Amino acid sequence: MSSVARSYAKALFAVADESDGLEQTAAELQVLGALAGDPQIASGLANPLLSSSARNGLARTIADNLRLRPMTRNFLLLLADHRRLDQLGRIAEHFERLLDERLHRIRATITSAVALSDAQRQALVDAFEQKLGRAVLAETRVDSQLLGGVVVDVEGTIYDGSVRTQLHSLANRIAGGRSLQ
Amino acid sequence: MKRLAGAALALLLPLATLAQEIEEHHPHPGIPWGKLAFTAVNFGVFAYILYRALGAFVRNSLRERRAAVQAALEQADRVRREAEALRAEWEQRMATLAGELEAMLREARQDIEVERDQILAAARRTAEAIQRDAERTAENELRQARERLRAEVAEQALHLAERLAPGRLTAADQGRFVDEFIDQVRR
Repeated sequence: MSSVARSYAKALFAVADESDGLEQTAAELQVLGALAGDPQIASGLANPLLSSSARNGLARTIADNLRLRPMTRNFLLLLADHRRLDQLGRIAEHFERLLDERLHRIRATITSAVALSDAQRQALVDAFEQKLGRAVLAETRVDSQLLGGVVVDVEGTIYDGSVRTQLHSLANRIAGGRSLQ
Repeated sequence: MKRLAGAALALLLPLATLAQEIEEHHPHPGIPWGKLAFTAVNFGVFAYILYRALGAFVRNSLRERRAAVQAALEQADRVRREAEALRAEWEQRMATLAGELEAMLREARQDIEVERDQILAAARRTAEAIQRDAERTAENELRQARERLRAEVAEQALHLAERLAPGRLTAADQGRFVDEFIDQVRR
Protein backbone atom coordinates (compact mmCIF):
# COMPACT_ATOMS: atom_id res chain seq x y z
CA MET A 1 0.00 0.00 0.00
CA SER A 2 1.45 3.34 -1.01
CA SER A 3 2.23 6.05 1.50
CA VAL A 4 0.08 8.45 -0.55
CA ALA A 5 -3.00 6.25 -0.11
CA ARG A 6 -2.16 5.80 3.57
CA SER A 7 -1.90 9.56 4.09
CA TYR A 8 -5.24 10.24 2.40
CA ALA A 9 -6.87 7.40 4.33
CA LYS A 10 -5.56 8.73 7.65
CA ALA A 11 -6.76 12.24 6.86
CA LEU A 12 -10.22 11.05 5.88
CA PHE A 13 -10.34 8.80 8.93
CA ALA A 14 -9.59 11.74 11.21
CA VAL A 15 -12.27 13.89 9.64
CA ALA A 16 -14.84 11.07 9.69
CA ASP A 17 -13.99 10.31 13.31
CA GLU A 18 -14.68 13.92 14.29
CA SER A 19 -18.05 13.82 12.58
CA ASP A 20 -18.82 10.42 14.06
CA GLY A 21 -19.31 8.94 10.61
CA LEU A 22 -16.62 6.28 10.46
CA GLU A 23 -18.88 3.33 9.61
CA GLN A 24 -20.80 5.24 6.95
CA THR A 25 -17.65 6.59 5.40
CA ALA A 26 -16.17 3.12 5.38
CA ALA A 27 -19.23 1.77 3.64
CA GLU A 28 -19.11 4.52 0.99
CA LEU A 29 -15.39 4.01 0.50
CA GLN A 30 -15.96 0.30 0.08
CA VAL A 31 -18.38 1.03 -2.77
CA LEU A 32 -15.95 3.50 -4.30
CA GLY A 33 -13.14 0.99 -3.94
CA ALA A 34 -15.16 -1.69 -5.68
CA LEU A 35 -15.97 0.80 -8.42
CA ALA A 36 -12.29 1.69 -8.84
CA GLY A 37 -11.53 -2.00 -9.06
CA ASP A 38 -13.41 -2.26 -12.35
CA PRO A 39 -10.73 -2.25 -15.09
CA GLN A 40 -12.56 0.15 -17.41
CA ILE A 41 -13.38 2.62 -14.66
CA ALA A 42 -9.88 2.28 -13.23
CA SER A 43 -8.32 3.16 -16.58
CA GLY A 44 -10.61 6.19 -16.86
CA LEU A 45 -9.74 7.38 -13.35
CA ALA A 46 -6.01 6.97 -14.02
CA ASN A 47 -6.09 8.57 -17.46
CA PRO A 48 -3.52 11.41 -17.41
CA LEU A 49 -5.05 13.03 -20.51
CA LEU A 50 -8.24 13.98 -18.64
CA SER A 51 -8.47 17.72 -17.99
CA SER A 52 -9.08 19.06 -14.53
CA SER A 53 -12.67 19.92 -15.36
CA ALA A 54 -13.26 16.49 -16.87
CA ARG A 55 -11.90 14.78 -13.75
CA ASN A 56 -14.07 16.92 -11.53
CA GLY A 57 -17.05 16.17 -13.73
CA LEU A 58 -16.35 12.46 -13.47
CA ALA A 59 -16.05 12.68 -9.67
CA ARG A 60 -19.28 14.63 -9.40
CA THR A 61 -21.08 12.11 -11.59
CA ILE A 62 -19.88 9.23 -9.39
CA ALA A 63 -20.81 11.06 -6.20
CA ASP A 64 -24.25 11.93 -7.52
CA ASN A 65 -24.94 8.42 -8.70
CA LEU A 66 -23.84 6.88 -5.39
CA ARG A 67 -25.52 9.62 -3.39
CA LEU A 68 -22.46 10.15 -1.29
CA ARG A 69 -22.55 12.19 1.85
CA PRO A 70 -20.97 15.66 1.56
CA MET A 71 -17.81 14.67 3.36
CA THR A 72 -17.15 11.69 1.10
CA ARG A 73 -18.18 13.70 -1.94
CA ASN A 74 -15.74 16.47 -1.08
CA PHE A 75 -13.01 13.90 -0.49
CA LEU A 76 -13.67 12.44 -3.95
CA LEU A 77 -13.47 15.88 -5.54
CA LEU A 78 -10.24 16.53 -3.66
CA LEU A 79 -8.76 13.35 -5.07
CA ALA A 80 -9.85 14.43 -8.55
CA ASP A 81 -8.16 17.81 -8.09
CA HIS A 82 -4.97 16.15 -6.95
CA ARG A 83 -5.06 13.54 -9.70
CA ARG A 84 -5.34 10.76 -7.09
CA LEU A 85 -8.55 9.07 -8.22
CA ASP A 86 -6.52 6.01 -9.17
CA GLN A 87 -5.69 5.57 -5.45
CA LEU A 88 -9.32 5.07 -4.45
CA GLY A 89 -9.08 1.31 -4.03
CA ARG A 90 -5.97 1.49 -1.83
CA ILE A 91 -7.40 4.36 0.23
CA ALA A 92 -10.54 2.30 0.87
CA GLU A 93 -8.46 -0.70 1.98
CA HIS A 94 -6.39 1.37 4.36
CA PHE A 95 -9.41 3.16 5.76
CA GLU A 96 -10.97 -0.22 6.43
CA ARG A 97 -7.86 -1.33 8.25
CA LEU A 98 -7.77 1.81 10.36
CA LEU A 99 -11.41 1.30 11.24
CA ASP A 100 -10.78 -2.34 12.15
CA GLU A 101 -8.00 -1.27 14.47
CA ARG A 102 -10.20 1.37 16.02
CA LEU A 103 -13.02 -1.11 16.56
CA HIS A 104 -10.63 -3.82 17.68
CA ARG A 105 -11.70 -6.29 15.07
CA ILE A 106 -9.98 -8.51 12.55
CA ARG A 107 -10.87 -9.81 9.10
CA ALA A 108 -10.82 -13.44 8.14
CA THR A 109 -11.53 -15.38 4.97
CA ILE A 110 -13.14 -18.75 5.58
CA THR A 111 -12.82 -21.14 2.65
CA SER A 112 -14.68 -24.45 2.78
CA ALA A 113 -15.14 -27.40 0.43
CA VAL A 114 -18.93 -27.06 0.63
CA ALA A 115 -21.04 -24.09 1.64
CA LEU A 116 -21.21 -23.61 5.38
CA SER A 117 -24.43 -23.31 7.27
CA ASP A 118 -25.02 -20.13 9.22
CA ALA A 119 -24.51 -22.06 12.43
CA GLN A 120 -21.17 -23.46 11.24
CA ARG A 121 -20.06 -20.03 10.09
CA GLN A 122 -21.02 -18.45 13.37
CA ALA A 123 -19.36 -21.24 15.31
CA LEU A 124 -16.15 -20.65 13.37
CA VAL A 125 -16.32 -16.91 13.96
CA ASP A 126 -16.97 -17.47 17.65
CA ALA A 127 -14.06 -19.87 17.89
CA PHE A 128 -11.64 -17.41 16.28
CA GLU A 129 -12.94 -14.47 18.30
CA GLN A 130 -12.34 -16.52 21.42
CA LYS A 131 -8.90 -17.57 20.20
CA LEU A 132 -7.74 -14.13 19.03
CA GLY A 133 -9.58 -12.01 21.56
CA ARG A 134 -10.92 -9.71 18.85
CA ALA A 135 -14.10 -9.39 16.83
CA VAL A 136 -13.87 -11.26 13.54
CA LEU A 137 -15.31 -10.02 10.30
CA ALA A 138 -15.57 -13.16 8.23
CA GLU A 139 -15.85 -13.54 4.51
CA THR A 140 -16.74 -17.01 3.25
CA ARG A 141 -15.77 -18.76 0.06
CA VAL A 142 -16.27 -22.23 -1.39
CA ASP A 143 -13.46 -24.23 -2.97
CA SER A 144 -14.23 -27.85 -3.81
CA GLN A 145 -10.50 -28.54 -4.27
CA LEU A 146 -10.24 -28.64 -0.48
CA LEU A 147 -12.24 -31.93 -0.61
CA GLY A 148 -13.50 -31.29 2.92
CA GLY A 149 -12.96 -29.14 6.00
CA VAL A 150 -12.11 -25.43 6.04
CA VAL A 151 -9.15 -23.07 5.62
CA VAL A 152 -9.22 -19.77 7.51
CA ASP A 153 -6.96 -16.91 6.50
CA VAL A 154 -6.70 -14.34 9.29
CA GLU A 155 -4.80 -11.43 7.76
CA GLY A 156 -2.13 -13.68 6.32
CA THR A 157 -2.08 -16.31 9.05
CA ILE A 158 -3.45 -19.59 7.65
CA TYR A 159 -5.37 -22.09 9.78
CA ASP A 160 -5.68 -25.12 7.54
CA GLY A 161 -8.23 -27.80 8.42
CA SER A 162 -8.84 -29.02 4.90
CA VAL A 163 -9.02 -32.69 3.97
CA ARG A 164 -6.70 -32.03 1.04
CA THR A 165 -3.92 -30.77 3.30
CA GLN A 166 -4.43 -33.64 5.73
CA LEU A 167 -4.21 -36.12 2.86
CA HIS A 168 -1.01 -34.48 1.65
CA SER A 169 0.46 -34.59 5.16
CA LEU A 170 -0.45 -38.24 5.47
CA ALA A 171 1.04 -39.02 2.06
CA ASN A 172 4.23 -37.15 2.96
CA ARG A 173 4.55 -39.16 6.15
CA ILE A 174 4.06 -42.38 4.19
CA ALA A 175 6.70 -41.21 1.70
CA GLY A 176 9.13 -40.71 4.56
CA GLY A 177 9.41 -36.95 4.33
CA ARG A 178 9.51 -36.67 0.56
CA SER A 179 7.31 -33.87 -0.68
CA LEU A 180 4.71 -35.05 -3.15
CA GLN A 181 3.13 -33.13 -5.98
CA MET B 1 149.02 -57.55 4.51
CA LYS B 2 149.05 -57.10 0.78
CA ARG B 3 152.62 -55.77 0.97
CA LEU B 4 153.67 -58.61 3.19
CA ALA B 5 152.17 -61.12 0.75
CA GLY B 6 153.87 -59.33 -2.17
CA ALA B 7 157.25 -59.32 -0.41
CA ALA B 8 156.88 -62.99 0.53
CA LEU B 9 155.97 -63.78 -3.03
CA ALA B 10 158.95 -61.83 -4.37
CA LEU B 11 161.30 -63.66 -1.96
CA LEU B 12 159.84 -67.14 -2.25
CA LEU B 13 159.51 -67.19 -6.03
CA PRO B 14 163.28 -66.82 -6.72
CA LEU B 15 164.10 -69.23 -3.89
CA ALA B 16 161.74 -71.84 -5.33
CA THR B 17 163.21 -71.33 -8.77
CA LEU B 18 166.69 -71.66 -7.37
CA ALA B 19 165.79 -74.82 -5.45
CA GLN B 20 164.32 -76.40 -8.55
CA GLU B 21 167.38 -75.56 -10.62
CA ILE B 22 169.63 -77.12 -7.93
CA GLU B 23 167.43 -80.23 -7.91
CA GLU B 24 167.70 -80.49 -11.68
CA HIS B 25 171.45 -79.97 -11.78
CA HIS B 26 172.24 -81.84 -8.59
CA PRO B 27 169.79 -84.63 -8.08
CA HIS B 28 169.59 -86.22 -4.58
CA PRO B 29 167.70 -89.40 -3.58
CA GLY B 30 164.76 -89.08 -1.18
CA ILE B 31 162.12 -86.40 -0.80
CA PRO B 32 162.31 -83.70 -3.54
CA TRP B 33 162.01 -80.75 -1.24
CA GLY B 34 162.74 -78.23 -3.88
CA LYS B 35 160.03 -79.38 -6.18
CA LEU B 36 157.63 -79.54 -3.33
CA ALA B 37 158.43 -76.00 -2.32
CA PHE B 38 158.05 -74.80 -5.83
CA THR B 39 154.66 -76.43 -6.14
CA ALA B 40 153.61 -74.94 -2.85
CA VAL B 41 154.68 -71.50 -3.89
CA ASN B 42 152.89 -71.84 -7.24
CA PHE B 43 149.77 -72.85 -5.43
CA GLY B 44 150.11 -69.92 -3.06
CA VAL B 45 150.50 -67.55 -6.00
CA PHE B 46 147.52 -69.06 -7.67
CA ALA B 47 145.53 -68.82 -4.50
CA TYR B 48 146.50 -65.19 -4.03
CA ILE B 49 145.59 -64.29 -7.61
CA LEU B 50 142.24 -65.98 -7.17
CA TYR B 51 141.77 -64.17 -3.92
CA ARG B 52 142.60 -60.82 -5.50
CA ALA B 53 140.56 -61.35 -8.61
CA LEU B 54 137.39 -62.98 -7.24
CA GLY B 55 137.44 -62.27 -3.50
CA ALA B 56 135.38 -59.02 -3.55
CA PHE B 57 132.89 -60.44 -6.01
CA VAL B 58 132.44 -63.60 -3.97
CA ARG B 59 132.12 -61.60 -0.76
CA ASN B 60 129.54 -59.27 -2.28
CA SER B 61 127.65 -62.17 -3.74
CA LEU B 62 127.67 -63.97 -0.45
CA ARG B 63 126.59 -60.78 1.36
CA GLU B 64 123.77 -60.16 -1.06
CA ARG B 65 122.78 -63.76 -0.99
CA ARG B 66 122.72 -63.68 2.79
CA ALA B 67 120.66 -60.50 2.80
CA ALA B 68 118.27 -61.96 0.23
CA VAL B 69 117.91 -65.14 2.21
CA GLN B 70 117.37 -63.16 5.40
CA ALA B 71 114.77 -60.96 3.71
CA ALA B 72 113.09 -64.03 2.28
CA LEU B 73 113.11 -65.60 5.71
CA GLU B 74 111.66 -62.46 7.28
CA GLN B 75 109.04 -62.26 4.53
CA ALA B 76 108.22 -65.90 5.00
CA ASP B 77 107.98 -65.37 8.73
CA ARG B 78 105.68 -62.37 8.27
CA VAL B 79 103.52 -64.28 5.83
CA ARG B 80 103.45 -67.19 8.18
CA ARG B 81 102.36 -64.96 11.06
CA GLU B 82 99.70 -63.35 8.91
CA ALA B 83 98.53 -66.74 7.74
CA GLU B 84 98.39 -67.92 11.31
CA ALA B 85 96.46 -64.83 12.34
CA LEU B 86 94.14 -65.30 9.40
CA ARG B 87 93.73 -68.92 10.22
CA ALA B 88 92.99 -68.04 13.84
CA GLU B 89 90.46 -65.44 12.73
CA TRP B 90 88.81 -67.88 10.36
CA GLU B 91 88.83 -70.57 13.00
CA GLN B 92 87.14 -68.13 15.33
CA ARG B 93 84.70 -67.06 12.66
CA MET B 94 83.99 -70.64 11.75
CA ALA B 95 83.40 -71.35 15.39
CA THR B 96 80.84 -68.51 15.60
CA LEU B 97 79.54 -68.94 12.06
CA ALA B 98 76.95 -71.48 12.99
CA GLY B 99 75.61 -69.19 15.70
CA GLU B 100 75.61 -66.22 13.37
CA LEU B 101 73.88 -68.22 10.67
CA GLU B 102 71.28 -69.33 13.16
CA ALA B 103 70.78 -65.76 14.38
CA MET B 104 70.52 -64.51 10.81
CA LEU B 105 68.03 -67.21 9.98
CA ARG B 106 66.05 -66.43 13.11
CA GLU B 107 66.05 -62.70 12.32
CA ALA B 108 65.11 -63.35 8.70
CA ARG B 109 62.30 -65.63 9.85
CA GLN B 110 61.04 -62.96 12.26
CA ASP B 111 61.21 -60.30 9.53
CA ILE B 112 59.29 -62.55 7.19
CA GLU B 113 56.67 -63.22 9.85
CA VAL B 114 56.29 -59.52 10.62
CA GLU B 115 56.02 -58.69 6.94
CA ARG B 116 53.58 -61.53 6.41
CA ASP B 117 51.46 -60.29 9.31
CA GLN B 118 51.54 -56.75 7.94
CA ILE B 119 50.53 -57.94 4.47
CA LEU B 120 47.77 -60.07 5.92
CA ALA B 121 46.53 -57.20 8.11
CA ALA B 122 46.56 -54.81 5.15
CA ALA B 123 44.75 -57.33 3.00
CA ARG B 124 42.23 -57.89 5.76
CA ARG B 125 41.67 -54.17 6.16
CA THR B 126 41.25 -53.73 2.41
CA ALA B 127 38.82 -56.61 2.26
CA GLU B 128 36.84 -55.20 5.16
CA ALA B 129 36.76 -51.75 3.56
CA ILE B 130 35.58 -53.23 0.28
CA GLN B 131 32.94 -55.21 2.11
CA ARG B 132 31.82 -52.15 4.07
CA ASP B 133 31.60 -50.09 0.88
CA ALA B 134 29.64 -52.81 -0.83
CA GLU B 135 27.28 -53.10 2.14
CA ARG B 136 26.89 -49.35 2.32
CA THR B 137 26.20 -49.12 -1.38
CA ALA B 138 23.70 -51.93 -1.16
CA GLU B 139 22.04 -50.32 1.85
CA ASN B 140 21.86 -46.97 0.08
CA GLU B 141 20.38 -48.49 -3.01
CA LEU B 142 17.93 -50.46 -0.93
CA ARG B 143 16.96 -47.41 1.07
CA GLN B 144 16.53 -45.32 -2.05
CA ALA B 145 14.46 -48.01 -3.69
CA ARG B 146 12.35 -48.27 -0.53
CA GLU B 147 11.90 -44.51 -0.42
CA ARG B 148 10.97 -44.39 -4.09
CA LEU B 149 8.48 -47.17 -3.55
CA ARG B 150 6.97 -45.48 -0.51
CA ALA B 151 6.75 -42.19 -2.37
CA GLU B 152 5.13 -43.90 -5.30
CA VAL B 153 2.63 -45.67 -3.05
CA ALA B 154 1.91 -42.46 -1.16
CA GLU B 155 1.40 -40.50 -4.36
CA GLN B 156 -0.89 -43.11 -5.81
CA ALA B 157 -2.85 -43.25 -2.55
CA LEU B 158 -3.10 -39.48 -2.54
CA HIS B 159 -4.40 -39.32 -6.11
CA LEU B 160 -6.84 -42.11 -5.39
CA ALA B 161 -8.12 -40.41 -2.26
CA GLU B 162 -8.45 -37.07 -4.03
CA ARG B 163 -10.41 -38.71 -6.85
CA LEU B 164 -12.68 -40.73 -4.58
CA ALA B 165 -13.23 -38.22 -1.78
CA PRO B 166 -15.76 -35.91 -3.49
CA GLY B 167 -18.09 -38.80 -4.22
CA ARG B 168 -17.63 -40.58 -0.93
CA LEU B 169 -17.81 -37.69 1.52
CA THR B 170 -21.30 -37.00 2.74
CA ALA B 171 -22.75 -33.82 4.19
CA ALA B 172 -22.35 -35.39 7.59
CA ASP B 173 -18.67 -35.95 6.91
CA GLN B 174 -18.26 -32.34 5.84
CA GLY B 175 -20.02 -31.17 8.97
CA ARG B 176 -17.81 -33.39 11.08
CA PHE B 177 -14.67 -31.95 9.45
CA VAL B 178 -15.82 -28.42 10.26
CA ASP B 179 -16.72 -29.36 13.82
CA GLU B 180 -13.36 -31.02 14.34
CA PHE B 181 -11.61 -27.94 12.99
CA ILE B 182 -13.59 -25.71 15.34
CA ASP B 183 -12.59 -27.95 18.24
CA GLN B 184 -8.95 -27.66 17.23
CA VAL B 185 -9.21 -23.86 17.05
CA ARG B 186 -10.79 -23.75 20.47
CA ARG B 187 -8.02 -25.89 21.91
